[in-house]
Amino acid sequence: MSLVEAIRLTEIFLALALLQQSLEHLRATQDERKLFIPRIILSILLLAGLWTSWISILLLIHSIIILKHFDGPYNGGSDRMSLLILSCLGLIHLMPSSQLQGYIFGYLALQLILSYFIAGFCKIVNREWWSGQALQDLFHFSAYPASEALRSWADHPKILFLASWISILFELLFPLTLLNQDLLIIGLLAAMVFHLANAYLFGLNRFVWAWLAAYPSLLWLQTQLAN
Amino acid sequence: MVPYFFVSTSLAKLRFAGCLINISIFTIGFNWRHSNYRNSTKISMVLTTLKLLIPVFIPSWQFFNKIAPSPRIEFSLMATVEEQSCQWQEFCLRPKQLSITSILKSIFYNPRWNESLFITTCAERLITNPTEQASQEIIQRIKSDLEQRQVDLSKTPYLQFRLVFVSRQGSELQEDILYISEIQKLEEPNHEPS
Repeated sequence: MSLVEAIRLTEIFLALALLQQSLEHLRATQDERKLFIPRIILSILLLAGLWTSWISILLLIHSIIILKHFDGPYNGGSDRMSLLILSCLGLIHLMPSSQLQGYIFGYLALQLILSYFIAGFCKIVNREWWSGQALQDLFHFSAYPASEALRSWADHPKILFLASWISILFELLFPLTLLNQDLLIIGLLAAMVFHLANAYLFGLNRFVWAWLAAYPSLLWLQTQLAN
Repeated sequence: MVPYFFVSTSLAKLRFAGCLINISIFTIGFNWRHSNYRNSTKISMVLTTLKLLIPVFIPSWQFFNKIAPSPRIEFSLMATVEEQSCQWQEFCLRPKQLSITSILKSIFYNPRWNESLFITTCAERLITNPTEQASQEIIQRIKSDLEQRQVDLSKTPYLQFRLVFVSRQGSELQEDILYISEIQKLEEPNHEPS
């Protein structure tokens, strides 16, 4: 995958992710709706591939205004990933050479790898994750289970113990998928299953689309490393 | 010719981006200055914007590393300001059960749940870094929900909310009330869809 193709694919996936996020705000108050309508228009233009460099910069500035409006991210990690991708795209379009563009796109890929590795590392240094207790607590009393019925998962400590270790090992070993393209594709498919499971269990649907938008950068980086 | 055009276009983009960033910082500052919540200097405004932006460029990516005490938002409707809140009800947007169709739909469109997660974030902010904005976000969303459910507020026009944090102590769950809001008078419902 060439740099130009990977950047365009990132723009398409990011436009879809931003559209998905923005459409959810159309049921909110009038002020909030007004805030997100420009983002919908800009995302459609980015999806269509029109004036992508200007649109990326405008989307970035608009995202800063949204960040200020909610006094921080509206949806934690997914907003941060969307903004990171948008910042990288904005900077890429400002760079005068493809080499500099490659460095920025590589930084995005590095952050994607870190997003899994750091999450895994933080879990493995916590004894409550070793025993599955952290996942039990997550289901038992945290604000995350997407329905009351899902809280009953807290009564299955053996399954949660297994799920904890699958999650920790997957996140920690994710950087190794860079060794081979086939391995990377398997890794990214597994990552998608992981995000879909989080969307089902904890309602974190925005993470699915935000992380998907960063995958082309990793596919591109792997090609560069292999060459 | 081509390199010159390329460089000049890049410089034009840089200048344009610079102007837009200045405009956006000015807009944020303008709104901020006229906000009821804060009144700050230009420098602190820029610093706050940077404080919001730095985690974007250098994210922490620490998800669920520690299961912290979890907030529950409870509210009470009262007839007068003097009345003591006693009938607290949980403000919860979590459904009892989700059908397969709802689960599949929620992957693409899940506004109510994402709003619920944002309210939880506001509740956590009220404890770690209290702001009037976080409190107002919670009040506005409780009001919207009451309006949506067409609750008759004519006899109980005053609202108060509190934050109850649930944590595990050994094998037992413990609840601690860490925040009680001021009493707010509810306005007449404007039937704004929320």
